[in-house]
Amino acid sequence: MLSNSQAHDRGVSIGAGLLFGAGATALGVLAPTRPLGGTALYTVAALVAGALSSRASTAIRSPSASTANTTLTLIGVAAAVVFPALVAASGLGYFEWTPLSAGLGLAVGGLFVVYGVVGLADSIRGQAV
Amino acid sequence: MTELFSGATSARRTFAGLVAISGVGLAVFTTLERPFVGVGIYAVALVGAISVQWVTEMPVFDERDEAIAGDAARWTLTVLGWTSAGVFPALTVAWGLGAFEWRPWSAAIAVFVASLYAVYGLFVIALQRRR
Repeated sequence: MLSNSQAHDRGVSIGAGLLFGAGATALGVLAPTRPLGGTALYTVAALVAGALSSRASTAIRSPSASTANTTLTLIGVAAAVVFPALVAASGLGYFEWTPLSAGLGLAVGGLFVVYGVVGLADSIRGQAV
Repeated sequence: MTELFSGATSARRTFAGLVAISGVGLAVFTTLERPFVGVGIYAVALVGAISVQWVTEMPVFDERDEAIAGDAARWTLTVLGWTSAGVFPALTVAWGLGAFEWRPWSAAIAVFVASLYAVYGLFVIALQRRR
């Protein structure tokens, strides 16, 4: 069972997360037509969310390891199936790489390069100690 | 005991190396327009990585590896999140001022980052509910 202050902290950090998400969505939706207005909305939402979450305890503020791991596992498994299939399809002439799909591939690749490097650094540090 | 541990360690290294080769091989040979070579390397390296776990007598990964993977995932999302929170609004401002032009590939990266954190947010909500 959570204590009252923990429940309050959790509510505050969820509220801050949702506010930040709303700001980021506004940025994405408004960017094509009103880039400066979208960025202004985003900045206000991000600042308020940051101020809110700094009032919650640090234990709840940082992303939890298991949630982060679940997210990366889901995206990793999806990418491990989709991208080889796209490469094979392009070889057979059923698919053409566009800048958009290549950009997506680049983003996924970069994400797992970062993950791999961080994991490697972590395990080397663990063995040294 | 030390012999067992070094066995699991080398198995882990082989596994990690093969997974890295599969991804890099797929990316490199796709860029070089040799799709079947890329997919071939990818498939062989992944099958090799999986069979490392089969042929090794002892468990290859333990709780400590799980902890490291979780820690690495947390750091990855934190660092990428802070970077994106600064870079993408700055690019949008630069675009509004005419100093930057969105290309399909840069827009695709932005869309991917947004989807990544949408997935993460959904997992946060789902996992908090379960507790």
